[in-house]
Parts: sequence; C-alpha cells; structure tokens
Amino acid sequence: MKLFAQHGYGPGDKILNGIQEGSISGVILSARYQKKEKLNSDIENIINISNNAEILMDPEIYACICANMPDSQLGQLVDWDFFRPHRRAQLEDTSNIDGVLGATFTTMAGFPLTSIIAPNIFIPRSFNSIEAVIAKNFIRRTMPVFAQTGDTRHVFATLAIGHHALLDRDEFGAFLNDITALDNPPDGFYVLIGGGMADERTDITRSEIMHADVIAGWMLLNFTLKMNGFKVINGCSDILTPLLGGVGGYAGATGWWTNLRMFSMNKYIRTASGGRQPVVRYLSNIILNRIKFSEREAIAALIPEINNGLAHDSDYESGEPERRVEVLQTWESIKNLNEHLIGSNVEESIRRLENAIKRADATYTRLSGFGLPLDIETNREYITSLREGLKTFKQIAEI
Amino acid sequence: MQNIPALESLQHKLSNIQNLEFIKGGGFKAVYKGFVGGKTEAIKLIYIPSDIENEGLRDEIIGRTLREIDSIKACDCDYIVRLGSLSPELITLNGNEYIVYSEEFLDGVDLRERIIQGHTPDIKTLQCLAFTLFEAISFFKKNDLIHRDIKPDNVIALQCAERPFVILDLGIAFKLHGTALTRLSEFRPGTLPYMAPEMFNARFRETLDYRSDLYSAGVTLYEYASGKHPITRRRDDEYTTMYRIINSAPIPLASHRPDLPIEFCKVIDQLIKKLPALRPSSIEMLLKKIKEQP
Repeated sequence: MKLFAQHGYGPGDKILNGIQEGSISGVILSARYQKKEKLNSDIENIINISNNAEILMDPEIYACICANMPDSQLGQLVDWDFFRPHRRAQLEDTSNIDGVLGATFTTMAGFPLTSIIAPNIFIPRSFNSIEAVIAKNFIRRTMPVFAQTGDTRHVFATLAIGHHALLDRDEFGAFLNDITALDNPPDGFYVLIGGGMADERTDITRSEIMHADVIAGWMLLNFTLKMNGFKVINGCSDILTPLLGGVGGYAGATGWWTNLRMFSMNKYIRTASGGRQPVVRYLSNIILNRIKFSEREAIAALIPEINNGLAHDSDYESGEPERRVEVLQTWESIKNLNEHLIGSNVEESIRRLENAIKRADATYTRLSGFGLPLDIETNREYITSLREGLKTFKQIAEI
Repeated sequence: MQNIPALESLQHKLSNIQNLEFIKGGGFKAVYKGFVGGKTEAIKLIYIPSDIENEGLRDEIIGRTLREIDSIKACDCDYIVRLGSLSPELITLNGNEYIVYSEEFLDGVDLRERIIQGHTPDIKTLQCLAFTLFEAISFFKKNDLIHRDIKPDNVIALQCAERPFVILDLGIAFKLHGTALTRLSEFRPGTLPYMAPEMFNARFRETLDYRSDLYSAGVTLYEYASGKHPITRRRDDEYTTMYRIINSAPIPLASHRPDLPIEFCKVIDQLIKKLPALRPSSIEMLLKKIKEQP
C-alpha cells in the first residue's frame, strides 16, 4: 500500500523530505492551501526528486457549503476558478453538477498532476439523505464529464462521508450496492471519513472516528471497492492506513497537523480555539499509537520495544525534536507498519493485523503494570476499537 | 400444468406440427416435442385462465408469456435458448384458452439430472458452465433484464463443444424500467433456494439488479461442482431456508472440491455473498478470471 502526504498549512520542505527518504510515494495537495501560481513549480520540485511520485489535488468542493457562512475559512480555495459557493438545492440539479465537474476538470487539465480527484459534496449523517443523492450523482457523472475533456489520466471520485453515515448498515449497504454497479464508473475513489461541523474538539472527532463500527465501515468501503476493480485512496487515514491497505486500499495519507490526520468539515469554519501548538509526538508501532516525546523517553527505559528501531528514532534521543521532524517520523512509522502488516491476501493481512493489535494490547498491559500514566490520546480504549473494528469488518464483509 | 389437454386433441388442433410428444409440465405451462418447419422444436403450451376464476391472473400470464418471448428475441445468442418457428398464437381447446409457441429443441440433460446422478464435473466443464452463465447474464444486463430463475433445472448440458450449456426459461424475467406483472406485492417470483438475499427485502423491486442473477449463477455453479447446495438443507421448511439465505455463510467450495483451483473456488464463493456489493460487479472481470484458470 502506498502512503501519501496529506498537504495542508505550512508544508515547508516536509513533503520533499518525505519523498526523498522514500517514506511517502506521493502527495494529495489541498486546493485550500495550494497557491495556483505555485502549483506547477511545486509539482516540478517533487518530480525532480522522484519522477514516480503520485501527485493529486483535492479540489475540496465539499467546502462550498461553508462558503456562505460568515465565519468560513477557505484559504486559497476562493482563488481557484472551479470553486464557487453552492447551496444544496442548486446541486440537486444534475446540470449544475456537470458544471462543477467540468470546471474542475478544465482547471486541473492545465497542471501536470498524475491523477485527478473529482469534486463532490460531504454526506454528513446518512446515506438516506439529499446529500447522499447529490453525492451519488457526482460519482455517476464523474467519468462521463471527465471523458469529454479527452484527459487520459485516472480520475478518482470523491467520497467524503460523516462517520455517522457508516453506522446505519442497511443504508450504507444500499449505497455500496449503487456505487459498485455504475455503467460508466470512475477509475477509483478518494475516500474521506470524518466529522461534521458540530464536532469542534479534535479529541471528540478522533474518538468518534476511532469507533469500531466506523473503522469496520471504512474497511468495508475499501474491501468492496477494491473487489469491484476500483483503486481506493484514503485521505487523512493516518494510523488506520495499514488496516485499510490490508483489505484492498491502494493508498492512505496523513500530514503534520491534527486536521491532516483526521478529516473534519469543522476545519473550514473559524473557531475560537487557539493557543499553543501541541506537543511533538512519537508514533510507536508496537502500541499502534502516538505518545508524547517525553513519554517515549520514560517508557523506553522500561519497555525498549516502544521504539520502532527506525532512522528517525535518533531525532528523539536528545529531547524534543524539531516539529518538522514529527511528520517524517510518522510517515516512516506507517510505511513500516504497511510493510509488515499487509499480506499478499486479505486473510493473511487480517491475521497480521490481529496479531499486531494483540501485541499492542499486551504492551498496554505492561505499561499499566509499571504505573505509567498516558495522556488522553494514548488511551487503551482505542485498541479495543481497533480489535472490535476488525472483528466487525470480518462479519460485515462475510469473511 | 392446470387443464392439460389430451395429446390427441392438441395434435389435432396443431395440425402443422407432427409427432407431438409430451415432455414435462408444471404450473400453467407444458412442454412438448414436435416436428415443425422441417425440424424438431420444443412446443410450449401456456394455459390462460379466465378472469372469472381469478381476476387479473389472465393478464399476468399473457403478459409474462409475451415478455418471455420478447426477452428471448432480444437476447439472441448461443448461451440462451432461441425461439422456434412457431409465433405465439392463442388457441381454444375444450373451452380453455392457451398460448402456443415454439423454442429450439435442445437435446441434452439439465444440470439437476446430472447432480442427481452424482456427476462430478472437472474444471474445464465448470469453466464452460461459468462462462455460459456470465455471458448470458451479460446479455440479460444489456437488455435491462434479470432472469430471476437461474438454477440447475434451467440449464441444459448439450453434447456440443461449441455450445456446451444453454440457459432456459425466462418465464419470470424482470424487466428493469418495465411495468410490474406480478399482481401481489408480497409474492416473490423465483425458486426459493436460488433466490438472492436481497429478494427478501421489502423494497427489492426498487434495487434489484443483475447481481441477483450472479448470485443464482454462483449457487448453481457451487451445487453442480460439489453436489451440495451451499445454503439450504434437505427437510428445511421455507422459513428456515429463507433464514439461511439471509444469514448463513456457506462452507467454502474448496472444502468440498479441494482438487479445483483455489482461485476458481474463491470466485464462486464471492458470487454468493449476501450483500450485492460484495459480489464482483464486472462481468468482464469475471470472464477474465475464469479464463485465467489453469
């Protein structure tokens, strides 16, 4: 499975370094943070390091629904020709959908992206909703409209879904039935699973996404779409990347800020939050989770396996590393997990994932034996969600 | 068949057909063998009840017969039975009405008979059967049709290398975007053990697609390969069968036939998944996978 950088605010040289190191094989650029006039040179810089790098750009049309809000924060999005505020009612008309698709493809045709991500809207709560009908029409129309441009690159339809929608299995199943039997389907899907606008606190959004049924549903999406011949690129999949790859996902992505590790519509709305930046963390493969750099030091003295034994470990040896290093360590760590946990077939991958979760659970037991307190993001319930998610996936995927 | 006419009187009525011979009958239909237009054909006789007996039934049976004929005409290929030389005609015999028409006569045995005989097909035979079923479903799909009754009884094995199997009986074919012919909404046309799980959804007419036929094809292939139905058990009543179709996971085909290529068995297992999205939707991809088997 491939791992891509999820582009966002302040990329600096992180993406170039990740590609140089070989921990990521591409990038999903954000139209919100990508300046139009810099896109060609930014792509060229990546290609100069690796001409195999996959470079895509998320047009983030799903944010159009926030454009009319007084507290929206859309960054560069408003400067792109294809981006315009749309009300839901406008998009109920398929001719408007063709217009949005056409404008996006026309703009993207002018840039040397390796594949194209088609626009779509966000399905906030249910697959039995007006938004889901509009989203299906976007998917249905993606290939017919794209074909008119004569572009021969692969096109990925966007599926941006609120985690609540995955909980209603009947409606989710019906949606899957529809999108897997299209007459003229796209080459693949760009999947984002996240929170809606009401989920303001990132720890709440995280706990909602790290729910067994949500994990199982996200895995089912990858499994079903792959089985039907589609490539699936998962945006903001972060630590769930190996689980999605194990059941057929083509690529996962993560970035350097919390909002690049999990998707939330809330990021398009200005919130009152602010303050200091979060503490730099270390992604430990054995616990399938992040710990603060200071925790790593304490735990490693008692449980040395908490260290991954990979190149970026050395950056953490002398106290808090530079922030730009954190994401390089994340990419290195997830790439390593992908290599070890994704087998040659789904059954083999599931066996490996189950073992990895058992190992993580056992490590948590050892940690609690030492009485080491861990912060909220490192809590153990997360492991239970992974284990239950895997179990539920096997059941709903009829494995 | 209800109100089956005496062979002599039918022969007398159908004077253009020679050597009429009864083959089988059931429901409202009887099939004969007869010599017409210089060759042997399968003569199909459909009893049309009067409205007095059952309001609307007459219209349904006429509608279904005409749809079956139209469907066969639309799907003209080697994988599906073809029409014969007799165009549909309404006849009256002893005060009863019938529709009569002909299909090509297929000189072979159906797969049910082979299963009963304990025949164990080899991989080449199974590949041919899979190929026929998928190609036929592809033809149905192109014509917005769902066969809805693919089962071993409706597949004839012929002693012909170019045409080893043929699918019969489009009598309950469902026309997508067509007018509903079934009068009772709770009635589910088809043969219970071969019905796809989604057929038991109250909204099935809204969501049904060709993957229901792929499911029935998977069950047929599984049963023919192993001699065992993947879901149902003998002596199960209807409700137990229905429960099993919706909830029970079949034993992988490879457990019954370890001699078959594992990838072939996996394709068949995948076709009989409960959720249609979990069945491979690309018939082109399925055909490619079947051809790739050693």
